[in-house]
Amino acid sequence: MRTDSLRNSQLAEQFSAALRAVGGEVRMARDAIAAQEHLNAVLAESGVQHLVHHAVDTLAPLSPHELGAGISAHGPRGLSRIDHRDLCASADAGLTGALVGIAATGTLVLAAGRDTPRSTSLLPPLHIALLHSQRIVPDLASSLRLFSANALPSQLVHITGPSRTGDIEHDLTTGVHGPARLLVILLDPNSESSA
Amino acid sequence: MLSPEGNFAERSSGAVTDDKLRKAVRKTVDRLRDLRRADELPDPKTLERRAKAQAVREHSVAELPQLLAQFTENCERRGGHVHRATDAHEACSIALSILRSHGAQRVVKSKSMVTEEIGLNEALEHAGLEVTETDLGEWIIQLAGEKPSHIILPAIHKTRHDVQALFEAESGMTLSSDTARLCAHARVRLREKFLQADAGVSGVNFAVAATGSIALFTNEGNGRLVTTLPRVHIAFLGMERIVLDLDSLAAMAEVLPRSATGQKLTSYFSIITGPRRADEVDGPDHLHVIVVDNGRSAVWKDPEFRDVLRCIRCAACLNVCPVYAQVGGHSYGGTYPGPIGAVLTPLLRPEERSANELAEASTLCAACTEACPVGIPLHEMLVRLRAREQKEHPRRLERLALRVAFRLLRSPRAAVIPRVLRLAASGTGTALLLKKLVPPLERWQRARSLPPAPARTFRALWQELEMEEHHAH
Ligand code: SF4
Repeated sequence: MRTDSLRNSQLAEQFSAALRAVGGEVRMARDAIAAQEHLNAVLAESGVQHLVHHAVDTLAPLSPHELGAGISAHGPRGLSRIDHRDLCASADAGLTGALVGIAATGTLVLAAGRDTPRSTSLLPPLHIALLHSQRIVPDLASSLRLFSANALPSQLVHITGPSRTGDIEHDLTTGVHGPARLLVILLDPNSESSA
Repeated sequence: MLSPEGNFAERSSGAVTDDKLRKAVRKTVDRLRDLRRADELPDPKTLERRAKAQAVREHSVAELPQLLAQFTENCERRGGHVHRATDAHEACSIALSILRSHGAQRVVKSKSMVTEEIGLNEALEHAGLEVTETDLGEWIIQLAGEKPSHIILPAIHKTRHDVQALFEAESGMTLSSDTARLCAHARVRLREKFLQADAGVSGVNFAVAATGSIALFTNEGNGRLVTTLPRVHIAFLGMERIVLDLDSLAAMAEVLPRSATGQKLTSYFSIITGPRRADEVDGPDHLHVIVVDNGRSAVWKDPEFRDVLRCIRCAACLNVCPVYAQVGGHSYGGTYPGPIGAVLTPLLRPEERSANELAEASTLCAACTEACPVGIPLHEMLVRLRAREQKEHPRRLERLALRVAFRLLRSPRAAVIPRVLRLAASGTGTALLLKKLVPPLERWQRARSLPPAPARTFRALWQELEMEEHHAH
């Protein structure tokens, strides 16, 4: 998965352009501090009060414990199925760490697991995902090759932009079922931090 | 499975004269076709993607029995249950007994053509279960008590005012006709259904033999909700919708969204392998895959038509079809509209006589074959179907009529025909009388206007040209 850092940055650029083209938002961060600043800024701008997130170690270097004042944050550990579901259903935003990014399509790949439940990126109206530039691969085929056939997770989801529908008079509308907004904090050491 | 209201001619003539419907359908197919074109003009990359996809599907169809066995083994190894249903009735009964064994009352569904094909909703509702379609377009259609008119956009024939009225009737609330507000309303109403549901029913875009996975492509996210929130997930797999491995799946993901909606990839593309693991906090406890045959084995055994099983239901052939653009999806009666429906429906339902006439609804322009990302020779199959139909049920009258027409056109008296037509197009009193007197003319003109007749007839022009030729030499 590891290539040189210049190649990572090129893939990161391609990823950002593709994701923006389908209505996703991208914020570039050069380091951990910039990434956390982006996260806190997005939560504040969007008026997020309740956040659900994947387990802390899947989010490094972001910390859900250093959010602005007055924001509640819940991870999946120690919650019952119903409690977790209800928390996700009432949360203003879900925070995840992407396993892989796909440059050609601006796609995030998330694997379901104990620390990474499906609902976090699905039920809240805003999905914020952290992506490390060294995890970006050129295309879907190269992404799928990273997974061994007998070790697939119960669900591998590929997310490309916000939830969308054109079912009423082709009027493109976001958020009919999944998140209306998808925002990626892209951590790339070569980047100029930007909004 | 053909709807009871009349034959193709009756349904389509209703559709052709329904201006609103025709405009809506036209708008959709134009839009989808253009979206696809922007991306799909046969540049080398597109051709390469299609060649790969076609190779994958050719392999799938050739090795179908082995792939199904392999899929079954791997899916069960990952904790899923695989059932085989020979026909629609059996498929519905299997689903019903699974639902009953879990005491399920409320079912949420994501879009699936094969469940339309087997009449699942009717069967479940008949058994007293509540079924909610959650794809926005499908929900609109369900509230209207109708059938989808397009594979990808089932509610294209509804305006937002229609939708507003349907949502108001369902909720008893007063709503705006603003699209974004209507969608927001649907989100809230359907989210309640998701949270209450005991079981989720989905289709399968592709099953993967080597991993026992099922793959789903959606844009709204309802497919993810259906396979995440309820305790039980039942997935219906059309028997032929299987590929060898993840590489093959990647090849299909490169063409399906592009051909269907012009997207590089849909918003969501999920690969599901077994039910949730013991330590996971969401996802279904039980995963059942019902493999639906319903006539497919017979098609597979028929060397003339086996290739139609490559179909990935992308609807590209609908969007380029001039006949579909005119008559819309409901005219085809069966579950599958457009060129693919005209081929598939009579093959899956050979016993239904009215299905066979669908092959007549084609101009054989071959636009469908050209658009098909997996290289199905649709127009050739239509010709073969016509030939077969003609052999089994020759239409003497039609042949007689053609012979008469042929004689007539060769005779010098044929010169009178253009004069009659010109008169018919003139809009005078004589023209109206003429239309009444010649019923085929009247029927033909109900949804068309005759183009203004040229000042000189073709015959006259031809004679002139012939004379010019003579002078030139
Ligand atoms: S026949 Fe070809 S173009 Fe038509 S829906 Fe099937 S795969 Fe798509």
